[in-house]
Amino acid sequence: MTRAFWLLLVLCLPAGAHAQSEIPLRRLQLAAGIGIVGGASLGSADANLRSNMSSDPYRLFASSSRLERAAILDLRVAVDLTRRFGIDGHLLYGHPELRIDVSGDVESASPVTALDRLDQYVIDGGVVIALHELTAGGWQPFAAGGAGYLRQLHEGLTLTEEGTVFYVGGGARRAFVTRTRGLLRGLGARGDVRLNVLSGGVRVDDGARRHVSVSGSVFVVF
Amino acid sequence: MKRALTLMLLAVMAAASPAHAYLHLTLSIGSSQRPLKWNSTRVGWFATDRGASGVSATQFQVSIARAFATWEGVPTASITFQFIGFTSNVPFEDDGISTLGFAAEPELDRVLGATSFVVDTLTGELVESDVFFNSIFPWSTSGDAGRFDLQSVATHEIGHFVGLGHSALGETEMRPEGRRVLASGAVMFPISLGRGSIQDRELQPDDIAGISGLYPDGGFAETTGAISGRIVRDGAGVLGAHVVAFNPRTGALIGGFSLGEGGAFQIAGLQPGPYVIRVEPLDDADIDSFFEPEGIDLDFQVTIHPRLAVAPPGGASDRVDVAVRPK
Repeated sequence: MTRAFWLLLVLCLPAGAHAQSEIPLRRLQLAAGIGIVGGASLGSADANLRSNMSSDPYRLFASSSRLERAAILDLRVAVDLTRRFGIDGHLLYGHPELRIDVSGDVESASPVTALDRLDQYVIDGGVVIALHELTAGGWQPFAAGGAGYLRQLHEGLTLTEEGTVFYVGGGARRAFVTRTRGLLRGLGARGDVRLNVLSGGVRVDDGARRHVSVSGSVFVVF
Repeated sequence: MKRALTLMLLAVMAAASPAHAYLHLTLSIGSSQRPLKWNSTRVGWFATDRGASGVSATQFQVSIARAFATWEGVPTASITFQFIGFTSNVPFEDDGISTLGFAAEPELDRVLGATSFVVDTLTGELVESDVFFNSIFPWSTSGDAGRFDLQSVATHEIGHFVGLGHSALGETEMRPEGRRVLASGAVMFPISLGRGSIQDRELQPDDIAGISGLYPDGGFAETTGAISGRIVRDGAGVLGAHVVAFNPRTGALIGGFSLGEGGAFQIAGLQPGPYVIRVEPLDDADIDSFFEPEGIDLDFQVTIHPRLAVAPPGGASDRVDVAVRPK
């Protein structure tokens, strides 16, 4: 499938295209890729009863929650407004596992990891800063930052949890082919690394959670 | 209107509803189970004009009013209460008024208090409910060590007064003198925390879910969800298992029982979110504190379900089947 996609793009780029050129300004870039989003601890919580023996709670069992690492599908829309600054919008989809480790049961129930699967969507937007001066081998580094919306659906799609995402990151991109006219103006690839800070969504406490995502994409320029 | 006086000691009832967490008292009418509840959202009550050792009639009325206010203060429940006045009547008489007061019952030497009902046997509507506090015990209104806290016990009995049964959220240990409560997760746990404790003045999530399920208000039905399923051992339903739902985010523990056909259970009144499900035999209090003991199964291990159960707002989870193993 991926090979067919590349072939199609190459066929669409007619003669007159330039190899390894800069990405045209103020042109729409569409990117699609895959990657991985790292796991994140969601916090710990004890199942407590009111103790009749002391002021400390009486622990029925302990629990520790975590969102596991997962593959992601990455879709992106970007425009370079100037040689230095651009904007992009981004949709991420993942299917991570929510795991709650239960242990220390007061009546010796076997420790268990209780599971649920989430459908996780992030829609965000931000600013991209091109770092031309660090370009090497045709790969142009960039820094990025922004914010967006987090939507998580539990297994069975009976419950939606929402939150916000803030991110900082960067990466590198390279246009393999560009042209000055026609519908398709370029073809390239990019890699992104982001530190995401999640607020809301599935969680145990109200603290923000951090996790890293890494993705690689191909893009076309219109 | 058919009326029947039902003497209820520690909430022993012939049947209990499987359709809710905690335990709603029910009445069998024909082939159906109707919850015992007040149809009026404002229920009047009288206090007896006699105190007991260490507690005057006025102190008694003030403590009882505080206990009623605790239940009335639940924002997701609609029931309210009104003190009408003092009365020379005594509790447990079918006199048309709901009376709370002290009475000496030496033969009930393990009973701090009890609640009785007069019910409309056609509808399950509560017509009258009385509460007695056993004056053979030492009482206090200020949490004195060595005395039972009247407000704590009254909060428990008023839970019955509104139609709640007992919760099994608690841990006990057997001692020569009887069960000792190590901890509890509900005011409606059937055994007192003991002398000097005032902890049961404050409701816990299980109690709040219970009264809110009976008298829902403030969007309770729309904003909370349920988890339902079955408890099975070797493919057969387990009757009377205590099922507890734990919300790691809120820390809330809400319990229910597998009293339905094939070991079915439902725990309602849950804040939306993922829950850990824990199942245990009903061995921390006498079974007849909750319901008729016939057929109740205790021969299985405490089990934590390896799947999270998700309570959606205004609905119920996918069916959760928890497999338990024999001891």
